[in-house]
Amino acid sequence: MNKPNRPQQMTRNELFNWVSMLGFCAFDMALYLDTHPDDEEALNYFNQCNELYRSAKDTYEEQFGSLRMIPNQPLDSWDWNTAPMPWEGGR
Amino acid sequence: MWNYEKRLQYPISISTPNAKLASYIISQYGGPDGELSASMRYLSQRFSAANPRVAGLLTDIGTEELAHLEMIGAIVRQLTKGLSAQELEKAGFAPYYIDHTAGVWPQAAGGIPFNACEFQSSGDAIADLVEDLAAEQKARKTYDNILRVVKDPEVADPIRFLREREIVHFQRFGEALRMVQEELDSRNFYAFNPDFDCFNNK
Repeated sequence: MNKPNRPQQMTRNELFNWVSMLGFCAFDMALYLDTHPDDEEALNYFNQCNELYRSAKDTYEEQFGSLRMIPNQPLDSWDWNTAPMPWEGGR
Repeated sequence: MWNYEKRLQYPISISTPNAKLASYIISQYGGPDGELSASMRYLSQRFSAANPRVAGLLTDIGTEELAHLEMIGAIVRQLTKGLSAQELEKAGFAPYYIDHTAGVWPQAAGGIPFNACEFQSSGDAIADLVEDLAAEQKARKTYDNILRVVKDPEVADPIRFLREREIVHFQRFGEALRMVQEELDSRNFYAFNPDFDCFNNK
């Protein structure tokens, strides 16, 4: 993967994929930590992934619309169930 | 409780519908080694898991299996969306179409409906975790079988992702089994049920 742009400069697709990658990273590390709770290096990596993940989701939602039913910031309009669903190509 | 994130765990965008493939892949929705079995197995087993690390791992992997169930549903939906009754019939999809049209319903590739007897929640950590290890391998096997007949890269790509996850889960369950056994008497792991006897038969 090329070095990503700052999330604020990404296109919608780039930022969506960035959220997906970071979400995967954090989730997979969580499973690892479930069976390796004393691995400090893994915990640091999990924290890094998680910080980027949370801020990428916030940036996506500010610019392009809801990912979570209850987001981190106030909404200008309700788009949770008016934009296409994920299986219909929604993003 | 759960929080939904409005995205698939891995992107799925299939440009060419193919109902024949849908009739195979639906087995990972509601078949014997599918994602519905997987998620219900782990999310049920966790209630009796006395070791909190094991209960947490079952919750987390069970949660990921729900995301995989959603991915398989998305694949089946995209492979059948927009096809006419005649096209579905020509692809061998008529027996499914008659009952479910282009809806997504949990059944095996051979038409057998989802059944909770496809998994156990035994109330015994060793029995459950050994079942979970087998379940991950059986799901990996089904994905391997699917990949031998799928030629469309837009379908094969997410199926490969799901196959990889079975292997990671197998690894994690192996570690969980070791954690449970480390707390037991190595001369006889089966002397008592750590999820039952320590609460009930004192």
